[in-house]
Amino acid sequence: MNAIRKQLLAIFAGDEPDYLQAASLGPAALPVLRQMMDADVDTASSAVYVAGLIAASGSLEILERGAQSHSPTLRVRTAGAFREFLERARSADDLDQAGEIIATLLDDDDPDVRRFAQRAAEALPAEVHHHTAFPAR
Amino acid sequence: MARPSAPRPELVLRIHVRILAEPLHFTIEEMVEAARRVYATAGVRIELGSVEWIDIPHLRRYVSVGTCTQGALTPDQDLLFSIPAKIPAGEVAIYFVAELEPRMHGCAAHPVHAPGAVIANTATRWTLAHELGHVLGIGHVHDVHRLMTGWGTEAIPRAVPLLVPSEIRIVRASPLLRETRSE
Repeated sequence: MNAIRKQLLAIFAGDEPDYLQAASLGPAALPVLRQMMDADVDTASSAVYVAGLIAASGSLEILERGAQSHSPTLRVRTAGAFREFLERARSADDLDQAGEIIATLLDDDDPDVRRFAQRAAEALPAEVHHHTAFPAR
Repeated sequence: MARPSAPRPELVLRIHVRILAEPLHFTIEEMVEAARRVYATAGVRIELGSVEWIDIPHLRRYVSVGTCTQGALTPDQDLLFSIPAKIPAGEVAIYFVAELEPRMHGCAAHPVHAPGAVIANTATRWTLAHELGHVLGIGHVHDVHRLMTGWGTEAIPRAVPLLVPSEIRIVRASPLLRETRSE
């Protein structure tokens, strides 16, 4: 786990971190990414984006924590990460759960969070729109 | 004894600055000066063309760049690069913005016929020079002494980060550079 943590931190330090390389570590990185959600907003922002790119069921716990953050910056980046998640996730349960969390971001007080959440919502499959609170597309 | 090599001609890269938000840690002038110092080691002069403030209300706080992949621009990048600007073909547009989503200091993905990069307000002194490196065709390396370090330009310990000969060759071959006109 330490090796993964070191690898992730080295990637995150870049001027334009290679998040796809970080995501190539796969679900094995999720426990480390979960821990990183307790770090500063910059680290947590990078962690939540990688979790979105990994797009495994375990990613959703990390994305949900990001969505509940007091930091609007982290909520914006979580909404951005959801778009990556939705482009890659395949499980219907995951998509449903993602839809529910995105619905909370669409109601956010911060207009930028709502803008990024709207963009994520546009990537939701139509059937998820039907059984969540989203307006029909 | 090695024969002295012919002096290489000075080449010019012309950049145009578009400001949506000012950087937090270094001024734009400091970043341009830093880029000039690095590229001078490659015989390349950075010339500053126009500087212009622009306002796009919904890009005031965040510009989404996704995975920052050439050929896969986000709607925010499309919007940014589509702003009418009198930038001559072959010259480079640099957009200074507030924050990037996801978190990055800069991103050099750009439309094919509009070379440029986006720089976040968190940028380091060397981020502009680093992104120009990408625009000119050089990629990341695992060496913190070099401009193109993938470990973050913030950690560069040198007064002027290195461009190695192979990188200089690529930079100088870029079609974005032109020879200095003799007076």
